[in-house]
Amino acid sequence: MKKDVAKYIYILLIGDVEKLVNIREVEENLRREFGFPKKILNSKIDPEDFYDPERRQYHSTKILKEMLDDVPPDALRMIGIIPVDLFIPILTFVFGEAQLGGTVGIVSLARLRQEFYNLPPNQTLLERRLIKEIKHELGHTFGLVHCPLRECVMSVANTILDVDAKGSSFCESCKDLLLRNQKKPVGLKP
Amino acid sequence: METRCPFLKEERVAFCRAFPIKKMLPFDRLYLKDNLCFREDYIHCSTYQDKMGEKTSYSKNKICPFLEVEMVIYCKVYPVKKMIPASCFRLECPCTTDRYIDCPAYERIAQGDIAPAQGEAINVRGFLFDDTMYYHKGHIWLQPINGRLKMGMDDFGQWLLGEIEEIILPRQGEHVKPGHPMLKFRSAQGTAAISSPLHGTIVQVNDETCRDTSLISADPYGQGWLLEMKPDPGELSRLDQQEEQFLHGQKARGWLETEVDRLHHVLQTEIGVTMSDGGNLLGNLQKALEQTQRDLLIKTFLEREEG
Repeated sequence: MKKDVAKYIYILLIGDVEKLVNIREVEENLRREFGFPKKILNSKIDPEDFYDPERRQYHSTKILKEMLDDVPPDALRMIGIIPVDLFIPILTFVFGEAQLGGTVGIVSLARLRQEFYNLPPNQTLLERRLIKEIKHELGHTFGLVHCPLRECVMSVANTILDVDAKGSSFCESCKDLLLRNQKKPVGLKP
Repeated sequence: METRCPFLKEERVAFCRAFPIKKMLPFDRLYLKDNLCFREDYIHCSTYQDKMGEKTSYSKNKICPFLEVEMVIYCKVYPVKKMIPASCFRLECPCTTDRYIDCPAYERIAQGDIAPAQGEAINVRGFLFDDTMYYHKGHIWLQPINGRLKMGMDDFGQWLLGEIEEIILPRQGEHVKPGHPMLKFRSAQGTAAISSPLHGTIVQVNDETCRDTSLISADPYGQGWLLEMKPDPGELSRLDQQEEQFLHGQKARGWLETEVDRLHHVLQTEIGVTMSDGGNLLGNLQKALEQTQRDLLIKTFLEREEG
């Protein structure tokens, strides 16, 4: 039997994501940057299993680990979108996290929403921020590290203002690396 | 002779007129293209929205109308940076005439009693960074003063150590060398033995920092200094010759940014190295990490032995 060829970038919806964003529009936008076709999947992962009562946040890395068990054979990469607030142990929160040169990444909607900052909802802004963060995390899965150029989507953002300030595309040097790494198998050394 | 004080500095600063606190930011350090105030997106800024109330939906202005840019003047060496709008500056003040040599601050520097006040410590990925210092990769900063070297622990290093309980400094007159412990720290995160970045003789130690270890976190590049060394002949020139060992300016800044990312590489997870976007490093790692992980961080980042 012919073996499945990994060629799709999967978008994994964990929880009620579609109530918050128009996922088709996000997918369309990503298609322009990453040539690979996308597939959208609803996840069975229950975020509550990864809730940390002390931090009142959800453990991002543990969710990534769980996602690894659900990666379809034809998935080149898989990016999860989740409504809850994520953290890793050494950081106060994360907008997203991904395996460096690996398969999975995740983005949280919680702090991308204006409502988190007691501001009126703004759907366009939310989706713009989400696309930047998905590109950023996908970049990590393709072996890209943080970029010192603020205009590059791979630049680091500590706050939501930084997310808004950074560009939405890859700089020339990150783009070159991305193109080179897209041809490499998962597990590449960055 | 100069007719104005060489330490008089002029700078263009930007600040927000709408924000309750007047926080001046050096204009040349702003990322103009990306800064919200300089883009039409400023209408999403909460301060702008608060000020404008209902009238925030559109604006004719390309940049925020509350953004103010102004030239200020200040003394680079005076311990307190008092910025005065250049337009208000009185021309007959000593700083702009040859009488500046009578100024007590200038006099002390000219005599070599004190080092010029530290350059502006800026925030790099959540850590204070003084671009006038040299940095050894073991997170010791070095400041050449009159042929000697003042040293201390940089902000990243002191953060890694956590609350410092005890510092053991070398004795005055002791000769130190790379590869041999020069300083010892005992802290909530563990213990660290830091070797000297250069060969030299200790000429002074800061007993005040030993008595009040919180000075290191409160003012790592100022009052929290640790010791002063007289480098062996030829050692001082290594600061500029070995740029990879002793980082300075933009190179040091880039290195510090990489060090923050390197935390993720050192703290590998069950699923390998992960990288993230968002958030700030926790002030206290004690709860967040296991003792073995904290030891690993200290060993990897601080206990470097090469000189």
